[in-house]
Amino acid sequence: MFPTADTEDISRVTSLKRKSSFSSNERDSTESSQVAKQNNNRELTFNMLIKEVVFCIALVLTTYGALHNTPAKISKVPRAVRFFYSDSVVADWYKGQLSNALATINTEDLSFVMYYAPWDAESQYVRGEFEKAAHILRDRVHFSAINCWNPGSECRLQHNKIPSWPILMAYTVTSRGVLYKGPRNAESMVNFLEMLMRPLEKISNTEDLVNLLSICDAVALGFTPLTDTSRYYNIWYNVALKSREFDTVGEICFATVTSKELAMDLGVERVPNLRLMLWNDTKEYKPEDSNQSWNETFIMHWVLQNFAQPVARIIPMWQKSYSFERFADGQPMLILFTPLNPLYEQLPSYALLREVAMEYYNCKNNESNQWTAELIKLQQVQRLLYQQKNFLKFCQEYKFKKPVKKVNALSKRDVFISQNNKYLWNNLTQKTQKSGIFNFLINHALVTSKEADGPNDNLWPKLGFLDQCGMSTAKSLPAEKSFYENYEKCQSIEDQLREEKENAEMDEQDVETTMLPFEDDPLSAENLIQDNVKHFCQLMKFANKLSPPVSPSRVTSGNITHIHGLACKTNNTLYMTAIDSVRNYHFAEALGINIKNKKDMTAVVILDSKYESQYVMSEEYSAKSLREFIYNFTHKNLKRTLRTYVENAKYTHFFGSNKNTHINEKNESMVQILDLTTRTFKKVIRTPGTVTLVAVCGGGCGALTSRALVHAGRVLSACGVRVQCARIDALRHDLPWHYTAHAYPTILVFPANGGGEAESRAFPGAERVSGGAVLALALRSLGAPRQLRVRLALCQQAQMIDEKKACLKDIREHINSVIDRNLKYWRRTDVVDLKAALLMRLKHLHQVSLYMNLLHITDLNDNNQLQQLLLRSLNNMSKIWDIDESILRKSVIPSPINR
Amino acid sequence: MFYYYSSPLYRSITKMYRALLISFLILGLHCDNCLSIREYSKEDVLKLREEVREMFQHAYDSYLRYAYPYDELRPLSCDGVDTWGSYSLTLIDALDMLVIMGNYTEFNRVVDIVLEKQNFDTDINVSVFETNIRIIGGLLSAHLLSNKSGMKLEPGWPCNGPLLRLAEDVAHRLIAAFDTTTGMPYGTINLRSGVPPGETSITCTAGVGTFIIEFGTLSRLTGDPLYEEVALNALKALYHHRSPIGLVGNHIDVMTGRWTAQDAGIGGGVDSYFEYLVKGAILLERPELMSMFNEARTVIDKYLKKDDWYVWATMLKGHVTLPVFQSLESYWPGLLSLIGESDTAMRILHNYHSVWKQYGFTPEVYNLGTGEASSSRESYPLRPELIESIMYLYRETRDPILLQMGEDILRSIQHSARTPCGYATIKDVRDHRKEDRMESFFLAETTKYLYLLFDPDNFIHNPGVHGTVINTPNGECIVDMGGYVFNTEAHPIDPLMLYCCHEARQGINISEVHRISQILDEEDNIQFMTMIDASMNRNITNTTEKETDSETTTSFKVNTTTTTTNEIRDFPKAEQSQVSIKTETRTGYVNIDGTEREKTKNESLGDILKDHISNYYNNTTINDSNKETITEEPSTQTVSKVAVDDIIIPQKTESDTLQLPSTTKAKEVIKILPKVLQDYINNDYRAKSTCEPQRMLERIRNEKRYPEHPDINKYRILLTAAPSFMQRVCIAGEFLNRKHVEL
Repeated sequence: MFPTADTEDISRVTSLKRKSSFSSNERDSTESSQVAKQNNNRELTFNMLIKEVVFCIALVLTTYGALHNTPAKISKVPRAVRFFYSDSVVADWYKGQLSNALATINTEDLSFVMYYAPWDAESQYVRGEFEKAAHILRDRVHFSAINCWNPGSECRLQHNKIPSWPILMAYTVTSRGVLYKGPRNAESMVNFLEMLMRPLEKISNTEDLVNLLSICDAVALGFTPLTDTSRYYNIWYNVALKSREFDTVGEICFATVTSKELAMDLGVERVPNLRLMLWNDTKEYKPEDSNQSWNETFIMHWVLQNFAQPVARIIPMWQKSYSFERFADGQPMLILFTPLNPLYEQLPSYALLREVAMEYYNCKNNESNQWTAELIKLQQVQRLLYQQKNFLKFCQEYKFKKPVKKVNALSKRDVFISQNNKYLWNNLTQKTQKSGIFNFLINHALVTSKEADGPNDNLWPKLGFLDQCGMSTAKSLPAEKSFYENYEKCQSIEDQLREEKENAEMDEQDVETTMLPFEDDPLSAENLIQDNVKHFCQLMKFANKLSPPVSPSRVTSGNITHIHGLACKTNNTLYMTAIDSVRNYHFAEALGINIKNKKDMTAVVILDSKYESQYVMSEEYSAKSLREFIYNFTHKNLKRTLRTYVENAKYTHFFGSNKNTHINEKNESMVQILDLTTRTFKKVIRTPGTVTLVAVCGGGCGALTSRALVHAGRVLSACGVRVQCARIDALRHDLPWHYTAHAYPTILVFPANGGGEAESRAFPGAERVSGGAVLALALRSLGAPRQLRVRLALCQQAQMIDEKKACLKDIREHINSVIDRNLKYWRRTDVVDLKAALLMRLKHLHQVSLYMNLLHITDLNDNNQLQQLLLRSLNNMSKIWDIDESILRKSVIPSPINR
Repeated sequence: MFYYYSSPLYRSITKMYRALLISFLILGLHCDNCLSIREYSKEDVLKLREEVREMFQHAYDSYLRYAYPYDELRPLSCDGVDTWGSYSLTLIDALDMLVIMGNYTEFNRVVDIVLEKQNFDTDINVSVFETNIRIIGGLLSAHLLSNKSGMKLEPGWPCNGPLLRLAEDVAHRLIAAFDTTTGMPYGTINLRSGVPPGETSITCTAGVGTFIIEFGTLSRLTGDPLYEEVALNALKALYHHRSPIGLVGNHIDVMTGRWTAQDAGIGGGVDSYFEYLVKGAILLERPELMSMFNEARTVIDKYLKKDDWYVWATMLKGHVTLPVFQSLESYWPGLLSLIGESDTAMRILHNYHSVWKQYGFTPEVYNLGTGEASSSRESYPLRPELIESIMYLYRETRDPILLQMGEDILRSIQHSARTPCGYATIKDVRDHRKEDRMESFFLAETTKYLYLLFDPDNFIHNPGVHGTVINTPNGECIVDMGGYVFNTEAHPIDPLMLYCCHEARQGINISEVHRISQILDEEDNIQFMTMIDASMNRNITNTTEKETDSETTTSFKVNTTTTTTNEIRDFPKAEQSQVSIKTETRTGYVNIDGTEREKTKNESLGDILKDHISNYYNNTTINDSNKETITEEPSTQTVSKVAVDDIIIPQKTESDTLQLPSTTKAKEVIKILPKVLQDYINNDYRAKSTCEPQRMLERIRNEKRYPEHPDINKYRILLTAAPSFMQRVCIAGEFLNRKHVEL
């Protein structure tokens, strides 16, 4: 399709031409010289010479023409070279041999294929991650990489319109390929492949289902009894596979019920059927015609359409997308930043937010109120149990045992969980008798047609203690009595668990004797189990290396404020979202949260676009603090957090990040402007005795702004005013409300008298930002007497006579207007004190005005008597100038009046 | 040489060399398995920066070794060729890059080489546009950066210096091109003799509007207003000739003002016109240029923007003609970031980058309908526009995804464009074949922007935290505070240098201080009066100790009562009361100080205040002094009306003689003569008819062909708006809403 132009040909053609021409030239010249020697005849020589010249000219012309008509030299297409190491686990089809590759792929159960372009940076990056994933899963999955860009290659010819590289595809024996759209890191890829290896969870009893419900955001349950063709099952299986294209982290758990009896028990009358069990609802797939609609596309579409979760997990794909769009409608939005490592079966931090979100949204008037309430508790138990497990320890210990004894560990996790659950359920259902979770769920939710038959509000009253179990299992014993009670309960549960475990172990050991010796049989049950455990441990180790499992802090004291149904009590409902803080910490950093320094890299922030405020949770992340945070936000008890950029962010690069270079350069001719942050801002503007000029810029300040600032600063300090210049990048640093600028740059002036904040002056927007303008702005903050002084000094510095004249004229005019105004004030006001103060001012102004009018440009030097008189009178005036503001303050808007 | 070149020996050598190189590359790929990093710590970024430095060095060394003193290097044949003139283009173009990378010794060495040339007096025809941006731009920025390198400076620098003189010499040779009826320049000029006879009068839009930065700089450094005025006049001319809906076409006849190519777009042929409007406004502090850009942008967004792409349309009606994306258009996001619209810019940039992802390069023309590179314009001559936008946006947003994009570009170029002697143009982006050319902008721009992207600490990025004070004959002057403005060939110009020679005479402009002070005092006055009157109001309402101010006039009492009622009626906002008070203070004391006060007062009010006042007047209608404020409005309107209505295409001056540059007169006669004679006469003739720049300037001033733009002093236009609140989560390709997506 694409001309792989072999330029060798082209160059050969051109070179031949050149060569011949050159050699012929040579030959001709020698011949002609010989002829010339032999014949002395002049004419002949002349003739020959002319001939020769003509020939040479012709030759030169042809060479010239040949030279200039040759097509521009064009190189060959880059040669394909290996992309992966030759010893890599990944099969590298770097010449794009598609059919060969596919032939290999077809022989494998599951293969993962990367279509790459060798020049592409992303492909080069994914190569490393792909290799990592391949290393972990090499026993179970075949990994191939195909250079699908190589021009003229088979792959290129078949797929010539790949918009972006690389393309990752998983092929199973049965499917046509599942496109991987998730994050391109090893752990996500491994997780994806693990999911494809086990696309469906088999539900053989209600416990399985309860277990699944307590882990997943949503459960899609297919009722596909086995038939001769198992067509329904196959379709459901394919749906589960294909859905992973859209649900890359496995938020929806796909499960299947293959027993007709169980389906009947769960209230399904007609099979095949499908239910989507959400946190607040259970939806039933209602096909119009069962034969037609049990169809992959329809089902998948339906599942994805109806899927909803209490906490939206945002997975930024690092390409143009609109993940935040649905949350940016003016409602506030809560974001949880926490490591969401896809390899862990559960993520307690995330699960906690899910519980809280369900609690928050779960309103009394809601039909599904009961269901949700139960689900919360169920998930809570599951989470607390999970938090106590230590896989690493388990894996370590596991290795020391002899293979014989390992049996009990049957992926200890699974046994552990299900048995724990079973035990808990049994235990607790016994205690609460009829209203057990099974019954409830079966009555209320699984049988969707029926309503719950009774109020079950106090269903799980005893479960609360589990929150404190972790605490009590710690070595230190708390003093309070309630804790002892809890401790006992926890202990007892743990004991029971242990018993259970031992029982299981014993059982296994009993059974074991009847088995074949497993060393010989790699496919014996034991060896398979062992293999599984090994694999699990390997995964866990890998996952742990990326980010250790995190869980919310324990609640150690105080009551938990519950926020049941808070969402309905306000019309400012929060959206809840979670973002992985390991891969997408940039989002936290953009909000000014130093996520890498937070405990467990976990932080919570609320963005309230209506009030343009953000709130960052200051306490450690726990069940209590999170609820309080939401509660306080709803009741508007939170203080706005000012965003400021994370200084030691390793991956965000700012000017001046290696500071030492600039310090070295510092010398006489350097001028510095303070670079402020939100934190230093307040301190700097309050520097006593110093006027502060601050440029508020969006990003970097323009040259002219900086110059105006420095210029004014230098002039002022030349006139004896202490002044400092500073800038702040308003795009990354929030300022208190009253300084928020709507256009950049804005210039603020903070007067010297320490009163600081309230007296800043924004630059009049329509004016040009120049040194003079900034100076005028700064002068205003000085008060009339000092302003006059500085202006006098300015006049003194002026060099041209005209300029000096104009300058003095300006000052006179200025004094006149000051007199005017004060007179006006005096006439206007009715406050006695103020009148008196103004009168004093006027008296001094009169004096100043007199001297000023006497002053001539020749008097503008330091030793001049007249000027000194003037300065003295200005001094006197400055003593009485300030008017006690409290005279007017009482009922009036606060504003400065020392002008 | 050719013989040698084509000999089998040579070929085998090159083959071996290539094989070696390839194996080296493979080695390189495999040594460092994570060649591509998607997350960049400080060290990673510096590593990338060093890679770019190596890239530059490789190309630069090759140029010096194989191609100097030709214009450009041919990276496949390893030799040089003259392209745009014969003035060692690549060398001059790459000069300032040496300073940016901190290679001062080499810079000083090369400057000396460049300065061996006294002037550009050669008999060659060159493109006015290219010579301006590459040669003048390169010389100017080298001149302005030469204090960094520790070079010995001439007294009077930066207003004086050999490089500046050289730049002025070139500019002086180009100025003759502007001697046209419309003020827009010819496209080609002979460096020795001015406009070549028989030269076409058709120029592309960019060729008309891409002078203001270099010429403005030149004028302000040398003090000769000629260049800036001429360039500005050309810009105004272009603005004046825009279509009734506000678009500009692609090519225009500089003598008649008739558009010969009426496709409007933002890409090739037009691009740097818009760029220079924005950058010129920033560099020279000219709000009217920004205003012109804003007007243009509104119509561009209206007619050309489709789904965050920009297409081509007819300039008269705005009908879409070509749904394509051009590699050259990629500068647009960077331009938007300069005016503070990073969000929009990012959205567009993501689109452009997706093309890069597809091919590894951006083809000259990419068909949006088919989603493929155009089969006739599928090359990539190592253009810098995309990386330019990425650099600007990274500086503005610090969005980590931009570093990824930057690396995407670096990897593709390293993989497919690198040759043993330089970097080659990609002939076909679909299969990455190379062509034997390396344009000078690869060294001047592509590597520069890449380098700057990966070097956050470069002095170019200084956000205004420090500067240097230099002493000039005009007094001291603060320079190097960042905010560098790049010309369209990526030659940085420090705006502050311009002020060293231009405005900074006496330090500060005292009358300006006075004027602004008055404005501010006025505001204070209003505030104080508010306070007093607020206290008054309280007294009135309380009516406890009323008797003290018997002096208050009756009219005043009336006013205060209206104020109070007004306050009661409306929200008791500070602003509101301020405004109402303000109105009465005016009537009170305007007359005390005479007429001048009145003027300042009009100016003193911010726009908001103005609105409030007029509202107030409209409500109460007690005073009629508001006339002043109101009468100002229509006058400005009428001015702008004139500017808008005046466009006629083709221009009405057609009846005028088109032969203004006296060259055209003899054209017809000459054509009859035999060629030899023609040449002779031309030479003779040219010598006589060289255009007299000063007289041309006088003519432009006298003619006043184009009215001043109404926004000439509205400095508010130069401010950038603050982004919205939720924007802060928009990084890494995330955007808030699709509402901008049409189509």
